[in-house]
Amino acid sequence: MSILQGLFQGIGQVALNVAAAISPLLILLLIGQAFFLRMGAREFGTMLKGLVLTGVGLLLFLQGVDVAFIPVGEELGRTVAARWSPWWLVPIGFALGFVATFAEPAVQLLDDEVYETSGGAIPKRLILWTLAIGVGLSVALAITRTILGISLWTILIPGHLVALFLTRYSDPDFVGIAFDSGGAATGPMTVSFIVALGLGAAAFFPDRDPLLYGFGLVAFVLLAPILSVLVVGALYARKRRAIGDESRESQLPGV
Amino acid sequence: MDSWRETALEVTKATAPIAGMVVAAKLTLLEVDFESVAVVILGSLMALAGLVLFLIGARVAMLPFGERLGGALPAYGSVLLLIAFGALIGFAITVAEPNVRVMERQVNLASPGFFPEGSLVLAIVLGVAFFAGLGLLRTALRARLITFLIPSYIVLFILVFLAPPEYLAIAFDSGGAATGPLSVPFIIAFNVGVVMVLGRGGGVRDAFGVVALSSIGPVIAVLLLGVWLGGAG
Repeated sequence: MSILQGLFQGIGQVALNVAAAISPLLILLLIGQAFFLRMGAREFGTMLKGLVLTGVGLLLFLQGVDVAFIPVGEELGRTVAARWSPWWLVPIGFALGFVATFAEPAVQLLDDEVYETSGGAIPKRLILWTLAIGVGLSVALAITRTILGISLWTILIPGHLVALFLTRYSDPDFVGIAFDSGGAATGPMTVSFIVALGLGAAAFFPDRDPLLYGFGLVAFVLLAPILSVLVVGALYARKRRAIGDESRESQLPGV
Repeated sequence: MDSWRETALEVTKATAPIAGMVVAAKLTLLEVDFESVAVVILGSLMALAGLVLFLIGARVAMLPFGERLGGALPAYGSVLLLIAFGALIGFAITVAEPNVRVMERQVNLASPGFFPEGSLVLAIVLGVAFFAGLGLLRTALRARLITFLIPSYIVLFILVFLAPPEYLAIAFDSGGAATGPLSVPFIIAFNVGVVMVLGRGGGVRDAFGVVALSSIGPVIAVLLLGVWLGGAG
């Protein structure tokens, strides 16, 4: 296999997928421009070019993840489980989940929007680091579950109940961010890469259905960032009470 | 251009740890040959370059477009229009989401004929559309997110007990499949646009939460489908 072949293997399908995913945004841009926005030609051109750039970027990103990260994730899961012990995948899963989150496209943009809408009250990168820790822990937990063979529901249902309960203690600003961040964290990088790792680990236990256990990872990655952001929200609320609540509303932008 | 250099630097910092770990793992633990190592290194660089273009495109066009579209709608003074647009965006994005198709294919491979043709995708799409509309209703009412989340979760938990167990895994997975790297930022930006125009001191509190509801929607819809098919069969 030549290097170029390896690098661009399957890029046609990825290109089709990206084109399909970007097309509704292009259609919305046309509808929006025709009926609601009426931007000038120049601005409309910028929007159009920008959306195409987004698509091209996503294509290269997904292709890179597909050929470089996923095969290593799979091989790593199998090799580490077989050579040492599947338990080694718990810290490795934490580390990889942690660093993978920083390279997740939607997470970067979520961080942008949080910083901007809070007018800087929620510092840049706070959400990024919180999500990274959450995803890292969720991968470690999910691999532990695979090794021990615990049922998904014994963790997921109490987990979601705890999340709902934590909203009572969290600063209200963090509640929406927390529940939105589950969707942002389950992006192409984290999910495909981490699932590859988990499938590799599940392969060590031939009697367990790899599809079932590979799936569990996604549900965990969806849940854990919700919990971690809510915990930070609760700490924020405590800190705020400690220094005295000085007219919060007026600190917010767009008022 | 400054923004290019800044974004490139930011992405390099964000990607370097994972790329470094992957390359290190490849070199120390796995089978090493020149070609596969070259693919891993070049592929990491490709992902890095792609993320730079993606973020620049998103910041120049996708997010501003979402915000402006959201910001243009409240002027019409119709909550229904907001809900309809929320549902339309949810519908259009999910219909085109490749992950949803991938999931349908996987389910079909695992057990052919488990879902009547097209019903899984339809359930996911309608679930997202309905709940994205609900999300916009919540923004328009300026209700607390939890007011919408708790009833949704109650319905979800009831359905978990009613639906045949083989539907549960697929249902929960569809929540993750419906949220892609384009849809999450775009939906957030759209809602931020609405909130900025509606103003009235909502800020961060109102700006987030539509994605949350949109990812519960397909779970509920697929569970409902399971109850219906399970009851019929």
